[in-house]
Amino acid sequence: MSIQLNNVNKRYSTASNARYAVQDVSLEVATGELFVLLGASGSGKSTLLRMIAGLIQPDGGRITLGGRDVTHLPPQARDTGFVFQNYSLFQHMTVAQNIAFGLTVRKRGVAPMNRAEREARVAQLLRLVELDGYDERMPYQLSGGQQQRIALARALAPNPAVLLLDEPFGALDVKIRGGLRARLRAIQQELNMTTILVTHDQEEAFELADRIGVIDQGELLEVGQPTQLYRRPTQRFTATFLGIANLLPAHRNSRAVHIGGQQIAAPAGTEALEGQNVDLMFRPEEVELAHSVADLRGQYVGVGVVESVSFAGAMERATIRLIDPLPDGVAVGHPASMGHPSAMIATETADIARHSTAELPLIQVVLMPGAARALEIARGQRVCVGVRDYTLLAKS
Amino acid sequence: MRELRPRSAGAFLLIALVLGYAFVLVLAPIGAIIGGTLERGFAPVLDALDDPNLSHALQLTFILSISATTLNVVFGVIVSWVLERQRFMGRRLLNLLVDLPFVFSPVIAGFTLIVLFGRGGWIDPPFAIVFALPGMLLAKMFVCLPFVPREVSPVLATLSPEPEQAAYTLGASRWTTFRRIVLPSIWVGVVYGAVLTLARALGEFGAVAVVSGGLEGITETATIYIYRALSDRNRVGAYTVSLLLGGIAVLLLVVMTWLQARMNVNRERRAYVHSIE
Repeated sequence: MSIQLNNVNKRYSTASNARYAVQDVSLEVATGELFVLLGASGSGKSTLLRMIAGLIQPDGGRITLGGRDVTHLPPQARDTGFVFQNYSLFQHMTVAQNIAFGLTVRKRGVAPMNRAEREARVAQLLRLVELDGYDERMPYQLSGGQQQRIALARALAPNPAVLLLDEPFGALDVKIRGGLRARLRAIQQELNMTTILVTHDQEEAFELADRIGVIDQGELLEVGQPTQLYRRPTQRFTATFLGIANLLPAHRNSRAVHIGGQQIAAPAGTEALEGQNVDLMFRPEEVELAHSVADLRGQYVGVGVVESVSFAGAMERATIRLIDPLPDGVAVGHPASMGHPSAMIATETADIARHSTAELPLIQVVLMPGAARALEIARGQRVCVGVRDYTLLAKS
Repeated sequence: MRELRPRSAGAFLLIALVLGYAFVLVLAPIGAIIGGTLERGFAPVLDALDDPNLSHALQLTFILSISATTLNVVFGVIVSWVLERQRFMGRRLLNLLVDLPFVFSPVIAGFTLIVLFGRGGWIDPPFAIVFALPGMLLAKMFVCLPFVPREVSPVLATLSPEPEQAAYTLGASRWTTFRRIVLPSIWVGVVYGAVLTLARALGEFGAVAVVSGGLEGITETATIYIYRALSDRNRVGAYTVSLLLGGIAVLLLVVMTWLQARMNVNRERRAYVHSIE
């Protein structure tokens, strides 16, 4: 069943002032979709999830589940399955009793299940979460991952309209998270269950989501598919929250983007920014380094000096300080004594030593080991910098 | 912690002081009660037990104490739940009021009941409250009001509200959730509070003495019986009832110790759950 939010609000008032925990959020999640709400702690994402479940009352707006307005219904009448970060199993009940709880509760308009039906349903759910035979265990005899699987089974038992997961892997060991994510995704798709998952972990969001909604300070900033949000964010926050973002001050005119004296093709879909000062945004893995401009296959943006190179397992990370062209807004002509020129760069690039290098933009680069070896890059070396994929962000 | 070796003279002195303190204040009175009761053998004790006023006083004490405990457990649990799970104006005041009977003199409490419900009092009840059982019940309830909330509130406070919320989303009403999720998690605290309440109610004297009028065979409780027996120089009667009440108190202490061990087990179990997370 679909989930629809219209201008949902929640204020938290303290003695001195009222602040929005959730501000004017509108969103539609389609039937069978796995939607991830991504945000830092305190961004309001859990509050929003609890409002959908009816555990927190919104101050304004409308919440619709499968076309039914549930804004003013208590949690008991909303038909949602909720999974908490800390599992929150009923500690005094066995695994089977935990899962059967929602089946033993009398509900309006639904005939209660008899014992045989309940037992069959519990067995079915234990198979689904791959914990057959755990019926009689107590929660404290289970590992964290097993407890969370039981919590999922408990939430799914009454066959809810939607599934709501609040940081479900947050309390678990990194090692078992991966397996659990895959299992959750498989179960969600098997049941075609409309699901909202809340997390602060962008990797988790990428792996699970059909679509991601980025939330910050109570506002839903941007919604889109993982690749779209990662490669073509329209908000500065999205760009920096979903990984490392290189940002260079630039200007877009009708056809090209100017970075200092250089110009590169304007990316499609940024027509709205025509004639404005913008930020050129590109990911570290989209940076290309070469010894000459002719060797670059991407768009040439300028000359840089390698500030650092570090081994990071499957890849290498490098930091490049862009020295030419100097982007707009970067002051030149400071005496060396006023800036902080590193000795390394000073020897290699005497011509810029007069400038305050600390004000020149740094670019984060990720290189495949092969590319790094072929280049033989080392600290202090001058390189030509190109970008393969990039987008523009409006100046905030 | 292991004691220092060799023990210093100061340590010896301190241990002797503590033992002496416990002996004078606790052990000596208990010994005196046992000794006093059996001073002239069992025959006078059996005679004293034959006194219909004594058996009536004991009966009345049990009925009143158990009633007061039952009512205070029900209301005490509700008070705790409201204090811990609801946010409202005056919550702090209520929290403070719950402790009032701890610091309030029982005699004054009994007196206020007379002022409120006595003849010509502020509230004129259609049936007798003062110098009758309802007033005595109210007096006992007042005196031991704090015990259940003070035992249950801390347990509730450490209890995550999330299992309750999970139950709500699974369709359980507030009452079902309380009965099937909350109560099983707090029952040890509830029983501990109930035992404390019962112990206090059985031994209550001041408030009940004021509000009951202490009519022999009608509104006389066990403690009032002891008080009257002493002034009547009925030493054996006083000792016998004292020994009975004392024996029950010791029994309740044993139950409390066992309950405390249970609470520690629960806590360790929770700690274990946390450690494997």
